[in-house]
Amino acid sequence: MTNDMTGPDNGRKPGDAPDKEGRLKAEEGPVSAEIALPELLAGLERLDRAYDDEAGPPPLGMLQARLIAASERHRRRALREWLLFWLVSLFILGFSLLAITSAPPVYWTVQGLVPIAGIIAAAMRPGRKGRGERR
Amino acid sequence: MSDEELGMIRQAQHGDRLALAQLFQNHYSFLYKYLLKATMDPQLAEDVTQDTIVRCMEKMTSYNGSSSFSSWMITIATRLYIDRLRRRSREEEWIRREQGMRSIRWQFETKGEEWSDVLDALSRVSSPQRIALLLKHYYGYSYGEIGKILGIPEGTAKSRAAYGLKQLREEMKMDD
Repeated sequence: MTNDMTGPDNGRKPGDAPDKEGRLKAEEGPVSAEIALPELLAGLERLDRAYDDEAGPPPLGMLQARLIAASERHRRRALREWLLFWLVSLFILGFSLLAITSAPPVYWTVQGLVPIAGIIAAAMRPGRKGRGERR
Repeated sequence: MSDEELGMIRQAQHGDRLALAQLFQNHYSFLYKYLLKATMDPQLAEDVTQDTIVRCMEKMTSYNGSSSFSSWMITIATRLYIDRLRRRSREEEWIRREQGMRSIRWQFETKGEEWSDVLDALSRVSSPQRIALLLKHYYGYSYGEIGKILGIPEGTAKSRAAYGLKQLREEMKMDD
């Protein structure tokens, strides 16, 4: 991709008529000579014109305020996720330490059950997927 | 890309919110009009435009200049739109399409623009094909670039654009 301001990276601008003589015939076969494309391009240009006002950018101040609000939301969400991650990690670590020191049989039972549950889940997965595809 | 825009991108990547807002303001119209054509639904186009701006802000530091800024924005916008489509049922999709087309028709009447049946036909082309068709024939992207935007192989992009055009012709024939 080359670097231009807006639109396609090969330097063409939106609405540029495609190269019917070369590219379309070569790439899409003889049926492409029909009139659909010029009509489509004209229709899309009309659509652009009809929405010129709605497509106008919001004022800079409003955009900046929206970005600040979004950035604050993003920061809070990241903090929440980080806290949740550490909380769950500490809980698992604490439970494991407690189990290994006070009830080793429970610890080793859990250690044994986790891989077995994993293997069962992995074995059931293709079956679930298959049923989903048939639906 | 102009030096001015490059400078703005660097400033935005270093946390300058004014530069970031200015950058989005410059590209807002292009983005909205692209989404309007991709979704054929003004309300949805507006919503996805807002989401895209927020997502671009979050990912700003990952923009490496290998494509134009507008191409990078529409890549993110397209993926957000496809994500939304995946979450919707076919029925919801149909209802939204009808509402979108009514809204566009009303806008044409308000603005005194002559209605084009090709837009009706385009709205009935399935979204993945419609996007590939638009990117290829209206925006002039190469199949390789379309593949990168949609996250699909070049060959798939080519077949989607060709199939989209075929579907469009069939829809237009049915209208006749």
